Amino acid sequence: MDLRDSLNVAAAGMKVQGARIKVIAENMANANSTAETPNDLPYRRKVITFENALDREMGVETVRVRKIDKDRSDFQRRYDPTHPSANAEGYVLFPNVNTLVETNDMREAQRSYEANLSVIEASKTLLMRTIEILRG
Amino acid sequence: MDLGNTGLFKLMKGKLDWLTERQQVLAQNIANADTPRYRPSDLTGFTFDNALSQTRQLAPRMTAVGHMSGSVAARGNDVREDRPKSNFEVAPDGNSVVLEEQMSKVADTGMTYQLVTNLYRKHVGLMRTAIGRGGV
Repeated sequence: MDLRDSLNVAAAGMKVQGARIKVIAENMANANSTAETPNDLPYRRKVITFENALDREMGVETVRVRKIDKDRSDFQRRYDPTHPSANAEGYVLFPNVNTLVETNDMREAQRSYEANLSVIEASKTLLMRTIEILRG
Repeated sequence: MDLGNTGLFKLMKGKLDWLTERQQVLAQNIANADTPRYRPSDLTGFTFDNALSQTRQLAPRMTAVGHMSGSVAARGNDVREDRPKSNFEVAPDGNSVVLEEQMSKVADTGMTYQLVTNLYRKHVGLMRTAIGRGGV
């Protein structure tokens, strides 16, 4: 049992939250990515899931990305007959990305990232205090 | 005489070990703050009985010549699931980590760690005084 394990676990937590931010950024950037032709489908929102995993080397349980999946919900439809990818009735399919949902997700990822960072700081302080014992 | 294994030193070492392990368990909970179906855990308290059972090992009595000698191994720290106080604290995905609660536990661990390391240093100072080199 080592304080460095705590540092590694918190670092794993930061890593997955970083991956989550990356997926959110991708979704946000593609919020308006329509298909090129009327027959194609627009960008599909991605969702990330985490899982608890045993790190055999350290002998502790950390966290890792389980899967980056596609959100299978319906696309948004907007009426815009002038759009190049509009179908015969004049409707265009837009990605199933809701920027409000993404923003909230981003906030949550940010909070979790900060919490993990605080754990690293706290563990570092504990390590420093252990070293201070030597100074007597 | 091994100073590290005498009374107060051994007790303080036990407490520091406990705090280190707790920090790791808390780091694990915080890293998994967004993992579906994850239940946080915590260590059982560092009690006098517990500390005593770690310091003193009981040897089984041999009542016959054919009996094998041996000792009951000291028990390690016990990690148990930390049940949420109310149903409201469980997210729809089954995750019941409350970041605020975990962070306050981290802060608590840090303060206790500081207390014990200071105590440790004072005790070392006391030893120094005893051997005539002037302590803190």
